[in-house]
Amino acid sequence: MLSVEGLSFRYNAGAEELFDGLTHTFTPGAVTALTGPSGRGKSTLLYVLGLMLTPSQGQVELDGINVSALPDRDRSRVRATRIGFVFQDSVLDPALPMIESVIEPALYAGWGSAPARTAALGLLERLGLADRAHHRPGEISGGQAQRAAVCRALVTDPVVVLADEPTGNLDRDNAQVVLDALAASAQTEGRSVVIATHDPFVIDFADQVLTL
Amino acid sequence: MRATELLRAATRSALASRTSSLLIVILVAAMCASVLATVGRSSAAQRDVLARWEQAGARTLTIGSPESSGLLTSAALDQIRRLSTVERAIGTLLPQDVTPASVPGGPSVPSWTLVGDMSDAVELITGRWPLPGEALVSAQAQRSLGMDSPFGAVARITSKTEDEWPVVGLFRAREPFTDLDGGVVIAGAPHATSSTLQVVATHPEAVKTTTAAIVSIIAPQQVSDLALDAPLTLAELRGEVAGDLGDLARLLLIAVLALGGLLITVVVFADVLIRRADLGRRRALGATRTTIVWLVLIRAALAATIGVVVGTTIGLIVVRQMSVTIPLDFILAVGVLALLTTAAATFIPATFAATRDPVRVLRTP
Repeated sequence: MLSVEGLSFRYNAGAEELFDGLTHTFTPGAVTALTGPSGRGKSTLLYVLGLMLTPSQGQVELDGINVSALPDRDRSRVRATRIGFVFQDSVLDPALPMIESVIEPALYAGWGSAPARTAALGLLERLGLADRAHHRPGEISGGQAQRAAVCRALVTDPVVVLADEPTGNLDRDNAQVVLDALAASAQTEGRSVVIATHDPFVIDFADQVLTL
Repeated sequence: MRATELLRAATRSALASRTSSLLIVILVAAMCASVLATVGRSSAAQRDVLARWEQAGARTLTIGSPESSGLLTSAALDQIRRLSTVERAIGTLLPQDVTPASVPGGPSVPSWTLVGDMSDAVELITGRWPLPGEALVSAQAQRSLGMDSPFGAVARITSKTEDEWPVVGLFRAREPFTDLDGGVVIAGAPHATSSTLQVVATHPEAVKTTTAAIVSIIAPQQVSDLALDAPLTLAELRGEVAGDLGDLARLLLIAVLALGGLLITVVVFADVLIRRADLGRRRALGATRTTIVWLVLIRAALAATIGVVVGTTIGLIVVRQMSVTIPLDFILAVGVLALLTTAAATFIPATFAATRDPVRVLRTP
């Protein structure tokens, strides 16, 4: 279970403090929309939750462990094994076939290539991309690329999925497919899915809303 | 991340960034080729020069003393031969002309009476080693004397019956005694006193100590009793030349590697900056800093390995045109040094890449 306690963050000493001692528990099996006006730190909170930024005060807990205080190596390990990321513009390696991009976190988690591919193919099939597994990002649509990014976020079977404006560059149909995939993964696997967004469509879709 | 997966990821990454990989291949190839064509060539030349210096002529001492002085005895010769710094030693009497015994007044060649082990000065080609009072003839002398075979007899020109020596075989002179190839060598009596000793030291640096040891063995009462000719200056010069050539080669090697390393650092640094989004994505997805460092290092090392192969091939073709042979251990050392230089040159940009903030490159404004 993912939670934050007394969380604040500032980019540098003179910068504005964000989150103002936020305490919150992200419900497992639910999709939480993280929303608020621009500049309030929606994406920043995602990166703090994803252990890429260290809070200036407070802590991020995963299953009761203060993971934000871990050394960099251990935080990387937690990211690879327990947290899935979906970025705004998919961020797939343009030189690699889609399946190679999907298995990337599993390789960082220490998996072998074969089990990682098996897991990746299962996910690509679930999201209707099995026939595109060996296509490069330039050979598929934006919606398909973002679905592949969802597969990548889920390949290590994480307990938390963090998505930063995952539908920002998609049309409504493709946005619906991506959101359905994230919601399904929350409901069936009991994951906490956190989506940073300002899109009312996503906010309406979410089970819970956290406004910054 | 498993090592095999890391290697695979680095290979893919190296193929993806073709420009920087190609630049590293070219730089490392240029490094290897230029080292082989300059340092390798001068190193080989140095070895040749020193090898020539090592030849027997450059480490031969000649000690002369009149037979009447009785200083150059066979006992002294035996002692000198047993010195650890002496390779070979032979005593000679004053040369005299000889003619074929069957043709008095016929063509003549010089003859030398050798004291000590004749095999120190000549090689036996046919026949047998002579007993005292017997002789060997060289091929050239055999022709000059008009002998059909290297067997027969020779006599001193002022012929007396007792001055005739049976010839029992053919010889060829060993370095540095090639003067003997022009005549006949006669085995001297076992305890004869020589007029000249020729001593070959084991190496040029040993000439000085050998000279001192010989003088103490012979122990002349007066310095004028002994004429000594030793290539001492040559040995010292050899040391100086070897030092100078070695210094030059080392300086050249360091300069080439330093320049190559600097350029590789620039190329890898530029590549890391260009690919910061790729490296940021990897960090966000769980790659540790160590993984990123290894990824950048292996990627450069793969390109460098190709560069080593290409550069070594080019370098060897170039030096072959110069008729120079470079030893295998030097070639391998150049390859290893090029790879180590690449690793050292890549380490700083690799560390820089691993410590970048992934958030900065992942955030879309």
